[in-house]
Amino acid sequence: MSKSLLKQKHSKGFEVLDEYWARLDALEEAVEVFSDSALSFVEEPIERVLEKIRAYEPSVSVIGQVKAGKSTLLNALIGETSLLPTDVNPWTSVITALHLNSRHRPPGTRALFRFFDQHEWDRLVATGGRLGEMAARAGYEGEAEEVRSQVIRMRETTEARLGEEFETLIGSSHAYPDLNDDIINRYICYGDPSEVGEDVTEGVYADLTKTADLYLDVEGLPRGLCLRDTPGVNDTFMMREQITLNAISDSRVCVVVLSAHQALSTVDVAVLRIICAVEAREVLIFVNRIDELADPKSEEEKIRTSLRRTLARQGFDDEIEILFGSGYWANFALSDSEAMAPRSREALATLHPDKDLATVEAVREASLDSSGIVQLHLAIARRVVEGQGAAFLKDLEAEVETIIEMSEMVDNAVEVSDERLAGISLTKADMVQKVADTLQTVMEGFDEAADELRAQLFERLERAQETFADSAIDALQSHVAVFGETGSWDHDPMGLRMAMKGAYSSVCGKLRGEGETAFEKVVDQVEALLAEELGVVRKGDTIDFPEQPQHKPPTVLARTISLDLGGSWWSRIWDVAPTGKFLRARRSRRIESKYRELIEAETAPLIHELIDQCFDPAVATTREIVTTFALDQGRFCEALLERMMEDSSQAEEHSARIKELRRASA
Amino acid sequence: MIRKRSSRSAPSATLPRKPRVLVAGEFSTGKTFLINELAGDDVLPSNVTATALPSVWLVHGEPALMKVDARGQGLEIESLAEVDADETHYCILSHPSPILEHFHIIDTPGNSDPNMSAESWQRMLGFADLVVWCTNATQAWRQSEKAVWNAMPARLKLDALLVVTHADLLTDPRDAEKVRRRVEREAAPFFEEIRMASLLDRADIDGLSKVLSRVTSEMGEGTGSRNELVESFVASHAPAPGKKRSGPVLPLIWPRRAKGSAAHAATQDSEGGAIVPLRTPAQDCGTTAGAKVGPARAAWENASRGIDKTDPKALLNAVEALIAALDAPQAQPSGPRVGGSAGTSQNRAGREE
Repeated sequence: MSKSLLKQKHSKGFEVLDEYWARLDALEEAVEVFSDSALSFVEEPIERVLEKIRAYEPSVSVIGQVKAGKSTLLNALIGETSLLPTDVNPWTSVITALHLNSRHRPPGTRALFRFFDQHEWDRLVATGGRLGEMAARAGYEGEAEEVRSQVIRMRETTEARLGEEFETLIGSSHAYPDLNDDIINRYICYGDPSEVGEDVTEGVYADLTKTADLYLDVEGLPRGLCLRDTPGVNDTFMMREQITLNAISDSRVCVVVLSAHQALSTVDVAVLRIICAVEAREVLIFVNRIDELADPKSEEEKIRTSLRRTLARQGFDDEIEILFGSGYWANFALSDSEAMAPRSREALATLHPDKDLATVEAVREASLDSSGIVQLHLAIARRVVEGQGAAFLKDLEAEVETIIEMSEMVDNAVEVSDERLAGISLTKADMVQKVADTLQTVMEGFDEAADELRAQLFERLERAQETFADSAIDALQSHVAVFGETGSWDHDPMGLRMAMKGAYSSVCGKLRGEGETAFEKVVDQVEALLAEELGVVRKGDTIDFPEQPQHKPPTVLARTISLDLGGSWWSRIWDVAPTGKFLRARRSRRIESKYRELIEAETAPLIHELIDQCFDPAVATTREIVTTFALDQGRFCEALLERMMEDSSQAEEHSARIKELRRASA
Repeated sequence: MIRKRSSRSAPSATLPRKPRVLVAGEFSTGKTFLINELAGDDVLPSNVTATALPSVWLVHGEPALMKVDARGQGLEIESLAEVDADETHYCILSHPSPILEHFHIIDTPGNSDPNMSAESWQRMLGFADLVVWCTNATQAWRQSEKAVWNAMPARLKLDALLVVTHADLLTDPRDAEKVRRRVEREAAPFFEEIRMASLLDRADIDGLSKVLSRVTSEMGEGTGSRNELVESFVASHAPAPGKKRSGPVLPLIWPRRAKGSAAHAATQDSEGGAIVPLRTPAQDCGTTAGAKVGPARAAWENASRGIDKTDPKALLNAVEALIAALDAPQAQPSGPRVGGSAGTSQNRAGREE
């Protein structure tokens, strides 16, 4: 099979995504056509819709432990087999976004690297970031000290290496018009400390780089998709893990990469928990590196069974899709490399007993088939299209529908008789005032309700914290009663997390309800205004309220990976002396109060973060959407009044355009 | 950790016991494979996914197997297939492999396995004299390993060996060198020795075997807790004197893994499966309520009164005070030895005398 055929086969899985874009393009075009002739009062909402379509870029994050093969897999996904640097040691140090065929590429730029600003850098080095703070709070000065010393070492080497350049770099960014290995290596990989010398530039800016954006225009790949590579979790350089975990909420679809050697360890389970706090159906598991197994086929079955069982035991959704494959195989198929690693080739042969793998072409074809990459493309595309893509389209269609409805109303208003016109005494200024009054009362009501919900949430979160502390201490006491003060002991923080997530979700649900109420009030009052003042009857039940966005998932709850790992900070408080034998009866009361303090210290920031960083922004978003909606309605009323006053003849042509748009958006 | 001198504990302790090498690491790092290679025989079943077996304590002798439950009751059984990891604390297995003449090997279930509690392997730490930590070359030395290693009892960190397994998966020698350099850089402070090993390479295995034999022979009497059940098991399954096995070891076949068969277990029970009570390390080491207070314990209670026992520094001071008290003129020459949680050079010296 020729190279170009292989390439075609490689990107076949992305076809679903192309169909989706075609649909979005048609909608965009229809809205553009409509906007040429649209009445001025809908200009703003139309512009908003167009901006939304143009800015839409679904993103997919690839996450996993160090050396699971994430960068290799990403290279395989985009078919650029050596774009991202890879190594046998942990290598990726920066979250790297690959923008495929993007419309938003900054002019003349293919690579953009942003550096930490002074504030971020200082916070990082002062405390070791959140991880260091957490360890210190939990009384693990050892760990806190280690994180701090790692960060201080990093700061020293970075500042020494960069010298005066450091000051100019901080807070700035570097852009390049072309992509090449040398440039990329300077920013996004660790570098090898054993290799020093003048000519070694690998990783020279890595520590200071906050994000990397690479723009690729590749034929055959879908448009407008962003794939993100992340530093591996479970790195001994603990800070990087925090960067990855904090970034998870930016992507709705996550591919969790496992290494076939050790599929699903406790660390992977912890990572899955964090991601599933976002939304379970958006997670894909890819078991990578199957080419390193001696007998991939039979071992794949064993791994699958064991994964399913473990996932079920750990309480995960059994619909999480599990794929198997090898980024190495896919890259071999698409690269110019002539020789596959012998072990890997033997493994490939076991998967293709009927094929003659004598020629390198045959090996390439077989390795693409067994790489699982086409299936992964398809699974990613489906999730993008069916999940966030479908929601996005629905949202757009609702907005277009509202624009159409308002335009039609205004169009029809032209046919009002002179007799009725005479009865209208409302001036435009009065109208504006009345609409403004409506908005104010509605927003006051909303703000009051939102404040109340905030208080409710706070109370429920505090209660959850208390209940958890009580149950943890009960469990501690019964452990002592049954086993004495020996053995390790831990208490699953899942209960706390579920309770807090439950409280947050329920209050967010109520917030949505308040949003709906506000919409209804706006519509009711506009209806009343139109009926009373203009004598126009509007059927309010045909109006689509704008979609309120999905509220930010409470990832903060899961971000504290230490809560999830057995043998970690929380559980070790009981494990102070390895066999616990120094802990006598009198000690347990002290341990208890120390434990309660620890739980409170650890969960109090969660409560605050949940409220400040999740709930408050959710209120602000809903508020903005209601306000925008009300302003649109106000402009609609004004336009209606204006139209009724003027004498127009373009109505017919305009209504034909409306019909066209309606067809496109359905 | 304060231990009674072994000569005072039990009459059976007149024979010096063999050193014990505990093999630990995350699951699927090739621990079991390594042990089989060291033993020169498929002594243990292994698997690519986590192995649902409890720890297995390998001793030298005629083939025999015993499972030990949570109460420390031992029961002789036919095969590891009868073992339920949830109910069995560990197994004792005797095998005629020559390497077991030098030291016992304790195989542990992998750490980081979400289906196995850490307790399942940590409970064996008290018995170990030496730890071999296995890490997979393809994902070598991660934070989860480092965290577990940091929590290890100090006495076990002294001579520990880090084995980077599956080195054969790094086909390019430069890659292997890079991994070796990084592991050395990051893990050197925690281990006495770090070795890369391809488990398929006889020379690597023999090299490891030599290191283990050397370290265990230089170790003197180990610091691990006594285990009378194991001692009596060893005594009753020792090869008959004069009938020392030579030539190739007979292959033993153990099932890969399966649920125990109830019928089988029942016959085994009625056919004289020995039930022997076991002293757990905790019982060995700790004070039990109402125990008679001897001079050493009294000295300890005196030395440790009112200190924060969760504070390693305070503990260390108390231990030193205890040693001083016991070394005082009236103290008997056979004062308690220290091999516990502190791990200072003094303790080490104490152990080597």
